[in-house]
Amino acid sequence: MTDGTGRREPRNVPSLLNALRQDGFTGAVEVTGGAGGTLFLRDGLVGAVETPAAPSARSLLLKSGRIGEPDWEAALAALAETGDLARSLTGRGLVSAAELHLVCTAALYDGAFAMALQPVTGWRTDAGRVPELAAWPGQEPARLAEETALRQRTLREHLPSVAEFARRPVPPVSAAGRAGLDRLGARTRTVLLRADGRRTPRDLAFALGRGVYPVLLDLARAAPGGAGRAAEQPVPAPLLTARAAEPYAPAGAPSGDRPLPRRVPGGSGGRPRGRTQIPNAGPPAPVSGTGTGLPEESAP
Amino acid sequence: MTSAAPYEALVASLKSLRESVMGVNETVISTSDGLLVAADTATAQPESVAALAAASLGLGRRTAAEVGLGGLREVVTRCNGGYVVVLAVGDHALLVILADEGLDLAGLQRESPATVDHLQSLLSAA
Repeated sequence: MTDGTGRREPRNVPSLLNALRQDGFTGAVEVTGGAGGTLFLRDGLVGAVETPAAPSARSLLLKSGRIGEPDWEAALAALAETGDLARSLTGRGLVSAAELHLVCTAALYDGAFAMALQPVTGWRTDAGRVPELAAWPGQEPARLAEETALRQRTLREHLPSVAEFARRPVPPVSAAGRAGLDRLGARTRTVLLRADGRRTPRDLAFALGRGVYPVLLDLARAAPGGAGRAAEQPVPAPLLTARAAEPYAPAGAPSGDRPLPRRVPGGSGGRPRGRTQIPNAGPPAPVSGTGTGLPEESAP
Repeated sequence: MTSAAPYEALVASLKSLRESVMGVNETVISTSDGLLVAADTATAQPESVAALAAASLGLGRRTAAEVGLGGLREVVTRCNGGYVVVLAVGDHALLVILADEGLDLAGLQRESPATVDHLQSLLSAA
């Protein structure tokens, strides 16, 4: 195992990335363990994550139907002229540069999150590899670690073990449960109806062209105890309420002299604003219901 | 051993492969002439997949022999949405793996030889 820096070997991937950030490393970091994955860095900033554990930007664009296969193949064929897939796609008007950046950023955060659910057994750096698509200039490693931790915390509010839930096949919705699906949003309903008792949340994400995190969040919010539970809940629990842990007035408490709860920076969401270059390009606010990597919803 | 027992063991082996390699969705075992033996499928038509895979493995073998690049290792069909991998199981059977585009190829290369060995022993015992 080498960290490529010559210094004391980092203890984990976040500390490795921090060290590489200090060094201004450009290249790939191949992580082994579970299905593994590769992080692509430029000057120490993470621009792309490719892993079998989460759909890439290509999968998000193709599987969601945002870009058709013939168009994609035409863009690939033009690679010889442009030398760059992103330029091929934007040059042919298949997707705007801003939207492509957004989808790539979503795939990046989702890939980092999905890789964090797996055990890491080692890593090595490779200065020669480049990603297929990336969101340059990239994200600060600390920002990536912070967001990954936030996503895990958010899911833990619904699930006893996020990694275990992510590994297990999602049970199909029972006949009784189908009646209750109407109360859920179309996005959640689509996820639940694709569950067949074989597909894991990761498989569903690939099948639908969505991020693993938004799929997990939809599943967790709709049915923490299994798909059938969706029918028992007339209204899905509002996530923001569940996350506003401390200063929450008990039901029935006199509220005449209390103002409505207000969001504060670094409060319940713990999500400072304005850190990404494009609004919503990073992680979605869990209450917004848009989820990461939903090109069909972010499409103009 | 009854005929039902090896069939269940074959399906259990297929299920184990699906669960151990990220991206593997469905699998089919067929004879080399395309008759279905066992399947762990959800949406694919196992009989059709068995017949087509047998044809593609036969073509792959003939092509490999024609060009003199050594014996055939596997036939991989790479699609926009995933992979179809056909592996020979001995001389008389084959394993078809349908996987999504996120397939953990390294994991498949690690796990598939043991699966193929196991399937071969089950089939020869049947």
